[in-house]
Amino acid sequence: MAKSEKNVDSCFRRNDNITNQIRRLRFENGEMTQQQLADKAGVTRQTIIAIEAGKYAPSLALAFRIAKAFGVPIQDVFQCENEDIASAED
Amino acid sequence: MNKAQKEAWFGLFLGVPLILIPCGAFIFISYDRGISIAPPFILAYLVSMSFLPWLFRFFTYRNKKRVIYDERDRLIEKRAALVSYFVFWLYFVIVLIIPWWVTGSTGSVPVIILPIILVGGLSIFVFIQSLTTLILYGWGGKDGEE
Repeated sequence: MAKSEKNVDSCFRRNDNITNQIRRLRFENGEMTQQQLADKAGVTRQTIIAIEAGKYAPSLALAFRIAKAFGVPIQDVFQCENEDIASAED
Repeated sequence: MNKAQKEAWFGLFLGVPLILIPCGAFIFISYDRGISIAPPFILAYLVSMSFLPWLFRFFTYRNKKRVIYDERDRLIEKRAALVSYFVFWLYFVIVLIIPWWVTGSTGSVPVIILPIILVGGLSIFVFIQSLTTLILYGWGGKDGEE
């Protein structure tokens, strides 16, 4: 397996490498509350809290619904942090 | 704290005694009097107890505009059930081996052991499911509200 492929694989194997910008996007979208975002995404407020805190990785469908609620692409909401990928892409 | 967490707290502290005390009384009273009608009573009691949460959910007010059960709740429920079934299986294997180990290959086991094993297993199942649910939810309390 190539080094870049191995880095991508390890990135998506562990939830703690996936970060999100939900809190910032909420404030940028008219100081949206967690409950408002939860209503738009069709989940409970607890789930939004857990996603923001990085304690829960949403399903793909939920990730798309959250991105749609903000009106941004999904990669603007969720990122996979891995320094090796960044250096490989450079 | 959501409904699943409240039910888990209830199951943790009240669910196990509500199973053990009446069923234990049924077993020992009927055994002491030589009556073999404990199983139907236990079955009727457990069935009626298992219907109570459903009745409670049916009659309590629900805010239809707000989601109260989503994919995370479903995932936690599934994981809690998986863990509790695993522990129940371990318990079942152990309690079947212990009488054989204690009495030996030529000994005999009293019949009263069988309903005790069943009631004990059910209590452990409810306890572990409630405990796992609370651990996965984070024990309730403040949800990090703004």
